[in-house]
Amino acid sequence: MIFMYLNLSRKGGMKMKQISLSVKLTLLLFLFVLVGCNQSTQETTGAEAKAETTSEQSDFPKKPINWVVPFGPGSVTDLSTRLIAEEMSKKLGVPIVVDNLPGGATVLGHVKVAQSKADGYTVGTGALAVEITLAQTEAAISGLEDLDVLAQMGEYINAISVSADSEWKTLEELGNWAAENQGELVVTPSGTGGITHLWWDLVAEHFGAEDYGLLSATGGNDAMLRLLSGDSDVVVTPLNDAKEHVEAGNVRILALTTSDRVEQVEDIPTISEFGVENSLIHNYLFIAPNGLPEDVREILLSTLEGVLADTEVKSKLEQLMMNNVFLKEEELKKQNEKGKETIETIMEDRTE
Amino acid sequence: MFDLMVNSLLALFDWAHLLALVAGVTIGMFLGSIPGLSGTLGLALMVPFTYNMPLTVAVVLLTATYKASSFSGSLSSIMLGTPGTPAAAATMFDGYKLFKKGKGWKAIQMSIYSSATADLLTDILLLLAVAPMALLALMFGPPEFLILVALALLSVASISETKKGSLIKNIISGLIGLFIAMIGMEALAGSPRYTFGSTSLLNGIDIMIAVLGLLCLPEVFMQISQKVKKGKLVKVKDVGKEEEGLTFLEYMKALPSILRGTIVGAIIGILPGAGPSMGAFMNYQMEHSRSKSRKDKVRVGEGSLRGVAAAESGNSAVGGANLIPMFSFGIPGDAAAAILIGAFVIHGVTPGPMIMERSPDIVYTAILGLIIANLILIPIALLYSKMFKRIINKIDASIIYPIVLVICLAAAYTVRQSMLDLAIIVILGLLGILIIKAGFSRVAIIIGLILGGLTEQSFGQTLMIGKGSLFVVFDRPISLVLLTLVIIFLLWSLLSKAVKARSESAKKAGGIEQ
Repeated sequence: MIFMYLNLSRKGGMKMKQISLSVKLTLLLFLFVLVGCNQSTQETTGAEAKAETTSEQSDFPKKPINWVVPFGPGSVTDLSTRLIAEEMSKKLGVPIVVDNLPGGATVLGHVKVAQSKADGYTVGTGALAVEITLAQTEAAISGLEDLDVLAQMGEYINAISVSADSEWKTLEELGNWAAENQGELVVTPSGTGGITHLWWDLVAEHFGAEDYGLLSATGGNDAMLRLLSGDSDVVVTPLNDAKEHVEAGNVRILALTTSDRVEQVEDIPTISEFGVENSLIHNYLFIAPNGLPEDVREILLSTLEGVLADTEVKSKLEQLMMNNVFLKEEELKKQNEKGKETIETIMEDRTE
Repeated sequence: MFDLMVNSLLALFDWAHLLALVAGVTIGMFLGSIPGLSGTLGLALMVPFTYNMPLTVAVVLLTATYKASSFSGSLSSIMLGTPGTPAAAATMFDGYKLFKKGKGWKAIQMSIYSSATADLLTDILLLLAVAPMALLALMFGPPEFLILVALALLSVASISETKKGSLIKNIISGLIGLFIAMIGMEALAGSPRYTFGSTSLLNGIDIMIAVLGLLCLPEVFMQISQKVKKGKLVKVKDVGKEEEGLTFLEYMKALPSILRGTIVGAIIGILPGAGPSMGAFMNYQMEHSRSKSRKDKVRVGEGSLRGVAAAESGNSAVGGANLIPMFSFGIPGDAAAAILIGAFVIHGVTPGPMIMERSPDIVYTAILGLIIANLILIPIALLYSKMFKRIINKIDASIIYPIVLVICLAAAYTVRQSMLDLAIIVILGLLGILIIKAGFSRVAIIIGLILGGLTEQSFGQTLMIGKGSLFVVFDRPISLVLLTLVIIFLLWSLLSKAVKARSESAKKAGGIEQ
């Protein structure tokens, strides 16, 4: 049927009408282009004005910046990045296009940034946690050293939660139960093989409950759904995914994975308070390909620092349950190196 | 609750909200009708404009855009044979055939009315029963999902695109789709497969790329090659006589399939991850098999209005129902809902179990906004499709199809800004022609690709829940019921075929004896 040729007669009188219509169409298209141009001229003039204030020699940025987020839209990282990108875009005067590239435990996003042109027009959100995956699989990059890690934008707050009607009131009760009933507990970390998974391994090792069932999920929200439906007993997810369910009375948070208690939720203990030795850091980083021009790097970094110092931005990030700990240069390097070491030790233990 | 609803409804009738609704519907309609530009992209572009709007205005603007764009994908499906979205692919079967028969206007009207009816009904359902319907999402764990996905894969196998098709060819096509879905990182642990060391392939073949390559380009290529062969310019469709519109009787005849589409779409929509294309195809398949047993004069698949109604109601009902997991769990049903969640959070409202207590007005505004957007959509859609049709009628096919080709290529580039994707769609486009000629099913390939990741993930999770055994599907009440239904469905189709074959061979045998 599809091949059926439409053998239709053509009327001579149509020609004029057709021309006038194509003229209309062309005009319409032209109008679109105009609207587009108009917008971009506005943006560039804005950019010029801003560029003058931030740096004398550099005309960066001249065109929209692409910001790669290694998670899907709607995730905490995505929302935080969009928030920061939006503010940075206002300061830089060019649009910042957030490009979600989920999958492969954030490796894809990191690789995309690492392999893009080092002109400052491709940046990304990265995480130390990528080292976990890179320690296990061969990829186009071997670690964060293949990227320019400009800054740490903050830390994620992860929580270990159980269903509100479960018998476990503290992490200790849960850990001991799991140790007595080896292999019975079903655990869902927000990312299998990711950092939330490692954290459960730390907890499990501490209580001697290494044998547990692992139910994978596609993210924190999905993990929460597994907990609510009863398929899973414990979830390790970003706090943001858990807090609404806690307020609704369906979920109980047993512990946080941060090294210290968090201001927003002061009554929740951390896993180290239960004796778990916790040296993992789950941060989200501002990354770019190696070899950025010095002036471009400076503009990006100072703009980001300015945005993250803004109290309004800070409180919005707090609402997303992010821990605002800005780090750069030496401090950041030291911390990431320590974190990488910890991850490598855990991974080695695992393979043994 | 009733007071709140009335208040939200009244609040919607001020100029800002109405303007937002009309603007949303118009913009969404325009974006959706261009092949390759999906509602998701439209929403992503709109969100920044909503930052400074009051939350309710932003919400109705975004939901109206979402709604209209998911509807208008059917326009290019019907009139050009190039579906604008994966969800509109099922509409193409009957819609494009009707259009070629000169009944295009009927098909368009049917798609508008069936779409609006199904969506309206789901929205009302949504308004009355957010909480109980949300329970369904909880009851559908990985084992249930696995069965549902298997059912969807099987049902696609029974639809042949051309007369040369057969069940076996369709199954092979579905498997090819599943194979393409394997390209990239695997869902459970992230190990790369069939990427040949290319980072661009790590994320697999995007569904949009496959739709553009397999569904849009072959039509474009064939149209262009035919024009070149003929050596003269010809219209896509003659405008000799004004085409007839849809009659009330025709609408009433299709009403059962629209209602079925509403139920199927609503259930699919509640489950996060399934998406509108699954709703469209599952309902279309049901109509397809019913059409066979009903012995319709014009079978579904050969240019039947019922086919259009089934596909359109199936995909439209998903749109409203998708908001259920979003409002009740904060889980986006699809990429567009994820963007909506982002917009909510930016305005300080977190969708999730607490939203009904904290800001029920927002929920009611969003749902009522959807209902009104639906009502506004009908006249705007009629007007817009009339315009769309006029343009297509007036311009030579040899002008339109090259334009469509350029749009397809540009759209393919916007998906991931990758030149590899452009090469892939051209290759898929050429393969698409061969696939049609050989009688394989392009749509089965697409569905295989859409469901591939879901199948693998739910399979892995089911094994985990069952501690390494698939028998867990018999332990869970819902999966058991679903499984029984699937088995009955399979046995039924096998039995009816066997009975048919036997009676035919008996006749033949009898003939020889005499």
